[in-house]
Amino acid sequence: MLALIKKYWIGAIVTVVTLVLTIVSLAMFSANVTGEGYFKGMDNSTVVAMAVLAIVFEVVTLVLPLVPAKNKWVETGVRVVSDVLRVLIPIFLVVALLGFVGDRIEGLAYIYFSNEDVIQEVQTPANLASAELAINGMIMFGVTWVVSLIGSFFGITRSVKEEPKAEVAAE
Amino acid sequence: MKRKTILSVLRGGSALFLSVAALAGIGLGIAQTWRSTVDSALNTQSYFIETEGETYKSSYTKAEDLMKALKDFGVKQGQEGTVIMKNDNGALPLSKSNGVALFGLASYSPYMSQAGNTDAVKLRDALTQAGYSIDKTVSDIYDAIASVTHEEEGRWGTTIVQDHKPNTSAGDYTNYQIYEIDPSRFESEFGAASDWKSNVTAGVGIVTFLRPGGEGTTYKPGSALDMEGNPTGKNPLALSDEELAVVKAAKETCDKVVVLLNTSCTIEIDPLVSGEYEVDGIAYIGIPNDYQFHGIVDVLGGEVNATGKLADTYAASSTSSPAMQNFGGAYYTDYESVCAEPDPRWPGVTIANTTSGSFGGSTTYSGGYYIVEAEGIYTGYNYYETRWYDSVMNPTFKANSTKGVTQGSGAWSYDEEVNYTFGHGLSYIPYTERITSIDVEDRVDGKITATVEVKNEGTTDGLFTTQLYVNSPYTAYDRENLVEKSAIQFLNSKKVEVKAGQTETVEIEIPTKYIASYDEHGAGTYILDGGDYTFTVGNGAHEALKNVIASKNANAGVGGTATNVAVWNNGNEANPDTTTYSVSEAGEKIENVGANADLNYYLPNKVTYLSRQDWDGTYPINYCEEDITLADSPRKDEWIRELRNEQYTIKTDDPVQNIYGVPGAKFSADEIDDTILNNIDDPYWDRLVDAIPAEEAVGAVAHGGSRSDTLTNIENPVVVQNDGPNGFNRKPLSNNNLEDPTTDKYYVDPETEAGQFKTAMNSQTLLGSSFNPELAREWGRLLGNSGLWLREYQIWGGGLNYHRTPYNGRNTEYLSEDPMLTNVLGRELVLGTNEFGIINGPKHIGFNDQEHDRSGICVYMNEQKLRETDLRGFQGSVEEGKAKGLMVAFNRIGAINASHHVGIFKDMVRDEWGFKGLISTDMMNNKWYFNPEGCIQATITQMADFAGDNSHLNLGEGGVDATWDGYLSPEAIYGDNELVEMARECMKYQLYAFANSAVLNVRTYYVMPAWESGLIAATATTAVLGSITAIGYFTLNGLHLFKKEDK
Repeated sequence: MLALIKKYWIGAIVTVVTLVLTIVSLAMFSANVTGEGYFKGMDNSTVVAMAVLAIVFEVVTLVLPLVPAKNKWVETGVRVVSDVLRVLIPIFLVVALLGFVGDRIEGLAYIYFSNEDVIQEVQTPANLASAELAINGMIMFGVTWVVSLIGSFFGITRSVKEEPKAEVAAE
Repeated sequence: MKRKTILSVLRGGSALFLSVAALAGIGLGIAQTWRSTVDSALNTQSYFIETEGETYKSSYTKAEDLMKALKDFGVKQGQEGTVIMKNDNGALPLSKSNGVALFGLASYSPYMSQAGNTDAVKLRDALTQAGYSIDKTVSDIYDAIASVTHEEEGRWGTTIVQDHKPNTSAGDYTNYQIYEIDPSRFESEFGAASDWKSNVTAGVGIVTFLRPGGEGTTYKPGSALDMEGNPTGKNPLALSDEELAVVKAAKETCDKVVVLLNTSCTIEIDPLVSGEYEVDGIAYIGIPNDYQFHGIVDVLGGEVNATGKLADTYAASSTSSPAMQNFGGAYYTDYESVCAEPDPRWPGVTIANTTSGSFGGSTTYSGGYYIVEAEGIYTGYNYYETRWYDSVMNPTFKANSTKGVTQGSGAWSYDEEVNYTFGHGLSYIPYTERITSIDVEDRVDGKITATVEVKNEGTTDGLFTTQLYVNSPYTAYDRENLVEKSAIQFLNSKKVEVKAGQTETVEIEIPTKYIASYDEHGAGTYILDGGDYTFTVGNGAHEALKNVIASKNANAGVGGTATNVAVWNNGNEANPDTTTYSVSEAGEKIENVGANADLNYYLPNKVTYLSRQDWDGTYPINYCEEDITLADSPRKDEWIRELRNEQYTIKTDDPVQNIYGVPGAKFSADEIDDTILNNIDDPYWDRLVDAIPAEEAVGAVAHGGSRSDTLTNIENPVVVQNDGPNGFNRKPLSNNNLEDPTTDKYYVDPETEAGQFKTAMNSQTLLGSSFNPELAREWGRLLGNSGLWLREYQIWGGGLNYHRTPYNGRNTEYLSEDPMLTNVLGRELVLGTNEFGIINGPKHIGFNDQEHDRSGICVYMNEQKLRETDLRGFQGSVEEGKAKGLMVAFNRIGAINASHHVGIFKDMVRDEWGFKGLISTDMMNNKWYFNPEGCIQATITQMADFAGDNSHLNLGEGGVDATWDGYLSPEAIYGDNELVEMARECMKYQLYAFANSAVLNVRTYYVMPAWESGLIAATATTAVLGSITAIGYFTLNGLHLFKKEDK
């Protein structure tokens, strides 16, 4: 097992980072929905579904290399599934980001760009905190998306030729 | 390159390109939803407007001329709106040789409603430009105060913030800190010399005090904070110790002191009228816009005669009116019962019954709070003057009771309670006004004509204001049927130029129907009592009432001129006319429409409304301190349904007959001739709306805010909605230039001053205090011209709610405490705009009496109040002004969301008043409070959701509505033909309003802006590249696999 773990390559590290960032992003969205302020109660099933699927896919991507490659068909199949998931992860993340943005854009415009009278009233501490959290959550989703994109260019495990004894060479 | 490296690149490329495709594609959808916002931010245009006819033409051929006219209007409004309330010891007019010293933070940072032009002026600028020398000793101190700043870190960077500036946010029914610097701090903290007072050379000290207002703000009685942030227990509209200290310092340093009141919420100025802090002059300056200070200084300097009049009564205590007994709101004791049962419209959703705040955001019915407006019609001067009249003329009415006394502890005293009444305003030039005759056309479409002689008793020519009032009989029938009468009622006013020593005769007209009274309990309609109607003129309600009393009782000893009245008799007091005014001008039988607005409807005999026949026994109690329990009502279930906003249940057994629309009629000037244009009952209009698919008809109402949407089959124009009462906000004159300047008669070079000129030049407060309907007409015309030049054809351009109390921060947008002054100014404003084909929709009908809990507070009242106070202010703009638009208030009327109130909008506004225009909700900020079916039933034509082209019920997940996703979808409405046909009727009103405006003569055409084509290209390109990389990836894998197999 230890030998197996040693096989993990840059892609795996980036995927772990992406996993953590995705969880943080989802947590920030949830906090924005449940916390006090302007966006309280503004749930969005698309954001949640996309983020949860991304988390699941990230975990599966990390686990798949542990599947024994009994033959070339299995080896290739596992690699293709892993790669497809790694293509889907950033897509899901960007869909979640846009769902988040699309839901909050009117409120943010209202809070930050209304006329002076409205701004003075709508910019309560609770509403501003809610808006700040929404913006930070969007930024976090955006960063997570970029990191996941970077990760998609790297293999999850080292090359077979570099490690001839490796049982699996999923990328 | 190694195969695995290529696979990595292909995988990464697929991820990159496909996710960017998703980003661009979904982002495109979002950007299209917010098209107008994106266009505005990127300075692009998606829709161009082409003028195809000349029905409506601007009065100006050059933008520079319009700009000049708007600037001149600002100055004129300052001249006509400034009210000289007190002027002793020759304090005013100012003398340029004397110099002025400006005291108070607001003298340097006044509260303004700025259009945003670069040459806007504040008080100091205007005085300096007019040639007054500003005392440097004092201004240096205030400049030093202003220079104390600190840095604040924000998301968008560091900003420099002044430490000491006036508090310009009244807050949402919370504490209000009155920010003013006590002059005792000048020396120790701001570098003033120890002998600074002796260095002041100015003859007159001007002290400015402000109280702000604005959307979402409501003052809270007793909520004032001192400079340390500690509660003082005083009212926020009372002068603080620091403010009085400023007055004292001004008195110590200058021969004379004049206080300027910069507010729409009447400040308690009793200390300035007499006693230690008495000043020589007091002037009301409202909330000026960019150029109004020039006009204000013109009045202060006597360059023009002072003709402004108070649009609100200045009482010694801002809380002394009976309306203040019920303000702010309270919670029903058993509100939980409203949300106890699951709502079948929203499966699985827990809907609370809390407040949603001023700007929405919570999952709530917004029905938990209520106020009871038990004062009835007795608001503002109608209360103070009527009570005074009864204290003099009707001792059995117990007007001298201690109820409602705020000054001392004895009997109620007008002189103690009131400083300056409605309509009061001093003139520099002495003049007299005398009513010489009255002509009353006693029919529902008749008018009253008063002939008034105005004599200039001075030695200079000048402008004068004359005000017409009436005292109506308060009969035994009225007392028995609880028909209330104000002892003195403002009807209309007029300004006239009179040469020195000369007399001018003016005629003042007003529709006769406005002296009728609503008899809810007896005739159930408007009645005109028998008896004497005493018409008079005077400088304010009190002076007018003195004339009335003098004419009725020569021994009353209140002053007044007994001969300055004209009496019209309507027969015997015992025989009220219950028929002449019971049918509206539109031919509709007038009946009660607001029984359910009265709390007594749900809780019989709970509320006692103020009746002048017994001031002591009926003075309102505070119903916010009473237990209001839904369960106590014999109509409990109905009450709860209303609070759950269930005014209409979508049927399932009434199949829609016309689902897809029947193409045929188009919205086009070619098809709409004058016959069609003047008759909403012409078959063309039915054919036009029959062409709209069913779900789009409902969708167009449900998602009709911000701009109208393009509808299938009818080729209707896109009409953008604009705000607000001051004019077209923020948009410079070059905003909607066509692409080709050579074909654009309204092209304005954006590089010129006119091209950057912003036209929102009005000040509602100063328009109100101008008391000049002609000035309102002039503003309406300028608004109309601005609309044509800006190519903006619809505006919510008139705030016509009345000031029920001084505590509503939104009073900044409204004209007066008096519904009739509002009525006549609103009428002229709309008529002026109509001349140029711009749809000007007054707002917020009705009873936006406080902004606190505005989104859903239940406002309970009786029918007479409903008709004769707030709605009376709108009636003139609809019936006489022929308005083509209205915006509804956020609040409830009774327990029903105002936008769902069938009685108000269908029965009264449309049927009784004959309104054929469009009606919008206010901001649709809570989908559990507003619903399309309720609005459609009430004939509301559009719900303000602020999105773009989205008039469909299937844009949410799974093909349901994007907002009302719990229950609304195309399929859901296909079982309710009545609802669909009502929605088509709503669209008929909207399209009829468009046709009767400049919109008919314009063609809206779409040109894809660069951002949209860029996003589409990005979506397509990245999708193709993503597909190529994905195909490459699978191909390489396949080749590799089969190559191995071959081996």
